[in-house]
Amino acid sequence: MRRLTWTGVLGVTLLLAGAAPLMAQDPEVRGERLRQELEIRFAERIQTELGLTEEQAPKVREIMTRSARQRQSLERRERELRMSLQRHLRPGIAANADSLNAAVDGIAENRVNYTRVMQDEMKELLTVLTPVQRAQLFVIRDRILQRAQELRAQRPASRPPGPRDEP
Amino acid sequence: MTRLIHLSDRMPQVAWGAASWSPEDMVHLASCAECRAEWRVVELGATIGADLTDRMDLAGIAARVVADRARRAPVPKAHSFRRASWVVATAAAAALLIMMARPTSAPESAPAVALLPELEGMSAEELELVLDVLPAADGWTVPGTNLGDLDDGELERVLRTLEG
Repeated sequence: MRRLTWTGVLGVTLLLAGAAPLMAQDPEVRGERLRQELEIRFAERIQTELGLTEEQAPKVREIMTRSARQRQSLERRERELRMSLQRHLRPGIAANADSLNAAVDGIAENRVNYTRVMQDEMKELLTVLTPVQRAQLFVIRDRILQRAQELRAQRPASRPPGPRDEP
Repeated sequence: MTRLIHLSDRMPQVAWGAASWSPEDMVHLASCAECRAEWRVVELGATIGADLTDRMDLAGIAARVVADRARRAPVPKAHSFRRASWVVATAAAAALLIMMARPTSAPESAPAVALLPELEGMSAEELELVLDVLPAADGWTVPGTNLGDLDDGELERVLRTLEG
């Protein structure tokens, strides 16, 4: 009987120990995993849909990584500017004209730069990809970005704005 | 081969949220069907029973086990050492469970530069919806497009329209 009890306790302990890591998946971890899954699927789609050759794949990756790095910086900058804008537009608080102008001008300039980065990337990709491949890549990514923007637009007003939210 | 072993070793950690894929890992996963299939299995295995464990109070269960043992009739003196070791073992298991349920370290930092930086700051729920755009099924094509039917000139015009 004692051995049975021991075995039972040990079994339950091992079961719980095995399940415990699952409980550790908080929303932040889950979000990070989903983001990585999206990155993997995106890279996979590019590879399969475009049928990249061994010569093309590293070049495309390099161009896209460089563009992504620049866009990441612009995204973060816009996020900061939009938060600044919101802070200065709170009801009941006198707005500072200079701060507002700086934020609005900064966002506008940021978007021009974002578009320029995308244009430069597309031009550079044309040196590596055929027009069909480049168009396929454009459409695949555009669908993802459009979807992301739609979801941000649906957020409640209380949530912080995303970097690509339109006013 | 080295990459295959490296990925296989890391899969359980990533599946449990204790680590993240590096950019090189993600590139390899995107291009290697064998590794991707293995990852799918590990990832799926990690989710089995998740609903059940989400509702379990592990620390509470462990505490109740200890309390239940303490309530039982006193054992003969000859067994006191065994009883003490039992309680210590149970307490150690409870402590282990609590530690495992609350990892002290965050997952390894995400890749510094991903190809889709626009997804930063999105919630898990939103990312799941974005994921619908890229279903995992094989043979997926971009819905609503048939670009293969267009010649180079037509595709250029489409691109110019999309780029504004």
